[in-house]
Amino acid sequence: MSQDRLQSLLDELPRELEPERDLWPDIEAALPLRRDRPTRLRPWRLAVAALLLVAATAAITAALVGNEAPVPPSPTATLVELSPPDWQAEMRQASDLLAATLEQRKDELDPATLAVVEENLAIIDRAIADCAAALETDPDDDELRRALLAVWRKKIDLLEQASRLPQA
Amino acid sequence: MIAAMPATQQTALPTELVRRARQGDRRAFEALYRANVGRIYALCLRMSGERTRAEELCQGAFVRAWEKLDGFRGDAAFSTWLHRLAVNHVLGDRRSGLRRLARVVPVEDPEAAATGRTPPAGIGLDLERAIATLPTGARLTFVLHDVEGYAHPEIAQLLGVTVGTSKAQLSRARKLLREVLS
Repeated sequence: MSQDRLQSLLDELPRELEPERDLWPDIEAALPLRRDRPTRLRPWRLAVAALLLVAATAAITAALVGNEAPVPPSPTATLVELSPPDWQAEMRQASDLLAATLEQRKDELDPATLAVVEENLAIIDRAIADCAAALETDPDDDELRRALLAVWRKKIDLLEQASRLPQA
Repeated sequence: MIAAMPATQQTALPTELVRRARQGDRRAFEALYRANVGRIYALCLRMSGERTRAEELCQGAFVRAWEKLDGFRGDAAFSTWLHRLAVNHVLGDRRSGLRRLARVVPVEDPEAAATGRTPPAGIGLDLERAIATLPTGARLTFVLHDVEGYAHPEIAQLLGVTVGTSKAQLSRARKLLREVLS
């Protein structure tokens, strides 16, 4: 058989096929309730809310060390054209490096300032975990990818600031 | 047997039905299901090559669509969004349960699988059966490319293979089909 003949068979293939039985009753039985969904914050939206909180507390951190408050990342920040595992791995690597630097300097820093930094980092880590989990469920959600990228950037920014803190 | 739908549900625009479904209106979602099940079931049947599995995948795709309705932003038609979601659902299911799809089970009776909209007698029926007998990788590539119109780079991304592999699988599928149908 020629490719042309195969193509003509393909052209005749029906676009739709009905299942032998009605699938709706089983589908309806499996549908979770949606009554609270319109007002409920999705976990990654909570993560973004946490990010805003971090932006505020990071400003406090900056004030403590006499630096200018960092500019919160834009929600429309350029989307990394890599798959999440790739850029997340890079972010994690950079973050680990900065965290190691901070760890080495812990004894030199003002305990109150360090406490604020660590509190911020804990919030950011929870936001990252929430966003990453949501992204696993919705891998095609660009808004979610931007949110995760923004949270990672926030963590890197904070770690960079913290690693430059003056000695107490 | 398909349950009768109220006339208002049958005639409502998809965007209105989506809006109502988001608010928890199951009848609106049922109307979306009725309007799209033929297309989604055909996709699931051809990608899985097995009628029972296709029913499960089709059901799963609609449940997932219900869960993800908040993510539908209306940039594309609802049917396009749903189709893409169904492709991802089938491939995600395959990734999480390769052992199931490793068993290539042909459609037992394609005519029965196509009740309601029986394909044209003769050639169309043979092609359905032939697609179902393809090896999994070749079948998925063929269905996505030649039936659903996806391009190789997109197929490669969806299947986690290289573009070259996608092209090779398509070539293999076409060759096998030409042999089977000759």
